[in-house]
Amino acid sequence: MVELIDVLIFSALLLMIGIGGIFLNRKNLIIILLCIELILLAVNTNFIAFAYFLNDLNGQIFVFFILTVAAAEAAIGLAILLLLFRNKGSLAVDDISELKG
Amino acid sequence: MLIALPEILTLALALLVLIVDLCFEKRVWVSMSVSLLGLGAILIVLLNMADTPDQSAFYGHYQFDQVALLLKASTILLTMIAIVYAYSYLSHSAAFSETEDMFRGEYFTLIILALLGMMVLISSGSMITAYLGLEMSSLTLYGLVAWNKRHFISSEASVKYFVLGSIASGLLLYGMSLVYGATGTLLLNDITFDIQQSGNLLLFGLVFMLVGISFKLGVIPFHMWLPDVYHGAPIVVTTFLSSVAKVAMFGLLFRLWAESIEESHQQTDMMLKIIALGSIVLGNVVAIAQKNIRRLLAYSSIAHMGFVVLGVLVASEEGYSSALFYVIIYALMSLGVFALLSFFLFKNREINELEELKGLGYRYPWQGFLLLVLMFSLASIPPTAGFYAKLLVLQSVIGADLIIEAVIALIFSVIGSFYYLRVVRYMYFDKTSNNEDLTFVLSQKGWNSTDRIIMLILSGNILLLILLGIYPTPLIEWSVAAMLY
Repeated sequence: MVELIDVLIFSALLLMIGIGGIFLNRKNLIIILLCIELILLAVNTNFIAFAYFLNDLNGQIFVFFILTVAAAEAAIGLAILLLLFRNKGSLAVDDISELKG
Repeated sequence: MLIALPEILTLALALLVLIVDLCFEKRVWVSMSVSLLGLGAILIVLLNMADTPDQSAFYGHYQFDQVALLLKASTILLTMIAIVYAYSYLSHSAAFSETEDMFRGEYFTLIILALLGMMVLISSGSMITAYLGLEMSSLTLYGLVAWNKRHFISSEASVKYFVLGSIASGLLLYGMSLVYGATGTLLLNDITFDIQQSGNLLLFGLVFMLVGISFKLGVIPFHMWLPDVYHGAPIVVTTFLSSVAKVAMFGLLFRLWAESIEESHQQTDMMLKIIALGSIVLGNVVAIAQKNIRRLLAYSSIAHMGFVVLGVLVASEEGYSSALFYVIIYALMSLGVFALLSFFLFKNREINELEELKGLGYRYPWQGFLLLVLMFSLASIPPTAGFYAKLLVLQSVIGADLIIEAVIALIFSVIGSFYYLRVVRYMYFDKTSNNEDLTFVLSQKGWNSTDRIIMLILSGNILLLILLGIYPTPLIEWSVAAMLY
């Protein structure tokens, strides 16, 4: 039987992979988009698990909203990356270092 | 009466502006006038609802109260002013170097959609609406920061804002999911944050939520995006971002944090205290080292937001109303200072470095005087409104027996006045070179009536800061009444 705590640990691991991926990745900005999706999926897992164990539908409804917003976010993120690629010709993380001080 | 009418009208207005832009593609001023008139009408509709008692709609997911009314009225008004200021910069932008023609009708649609997100956020009654409003304003702002499409700096700032903003939203959501698990409800009014009873799960969730909130507010330790975005974005977008968005993010802090936690709690208080004092210290100290005026103002904004959090920390009616007053005054100052800078060009591009302001006070006496007033107000020197805002916050902090915190905040804001006064020094005491490269956008092709009106509104905005410094009672009474309701 899967307990609540098992799901919570799973989603915490997903979250950590997502955040770790963003900060360790130095190669490609697209990977960052994937990691952001991972973070949101961790949140979704959390919500569904809580909704199931609390016997409350609200959490699952929230998940639909998060999925929709995640799609919009990915679209905007890809558009911005496209813009960056056109201006710079590269998507390497180390290359976006013009702004500092 | 429909209590969500202002939001519905704002959505309709955004779609209308989109269609108008399609019909009058070459005449962008039509879209601008439609959006200004529409926003004015929405403001009137909203102010007509002033006597409506507090109520909620959509099964408690949306709530209307006096705080929402005051915050929404100020965001709409500030947005209208920001659109007027943006006009001259955007319509001249084709002639600047380093930019392309940025005067396109979608700009106004995006601004109105961002405003809609902020209004939903301010009126949110549950975590769903808070999240949707937050994302709606953030997603449009990511796009607006990249408005200068051909310029590398603008897209780099947008990427940084997008990546860090998305992480913050993710962490905020993760916190929300834990809070939902600990309390079993999404409605903010039903959540009783009794930390002793619900145990560590709730506290864990609250920490994540605070990370997300403080990121969006732009306070330490999640402030790193702020200087880059202020620097990289087109300056009219920075104007919007640093004024209207700050008021809305105060709404986020108030709804998700201040209103939900009934009693102050040692652990949550400690977190807020570190954030508030850390922001005041770091913002004021790091700003001294800045040579770029936009980065300088970004660090100054971190320090000012620290004061807002300090007001919220007090967790009494007095504290909340002083924070509310502070954030509105700060938005007015920020709007004025970025708008004024957006009207100046150095070698036909946006103002960036502090040194580029040399001799401004002699070349353009009136504009120099306005910038002087703004700097005095940001440094909180009486008789400006900035002084009164800081006084109120410190008064409520001392009233809550937080003497050490008040002393630290005071010392570092005195240190902070150094860099504001340095701007004044560059303007008036640096006569070494007659700065021919510095030009004023509005007077480039001679003054026409639109330019005059814009200059008049800008002067009014800035002189209002002096007026509110001498006679602040109406706004203070309004913010106190909103909190007491």
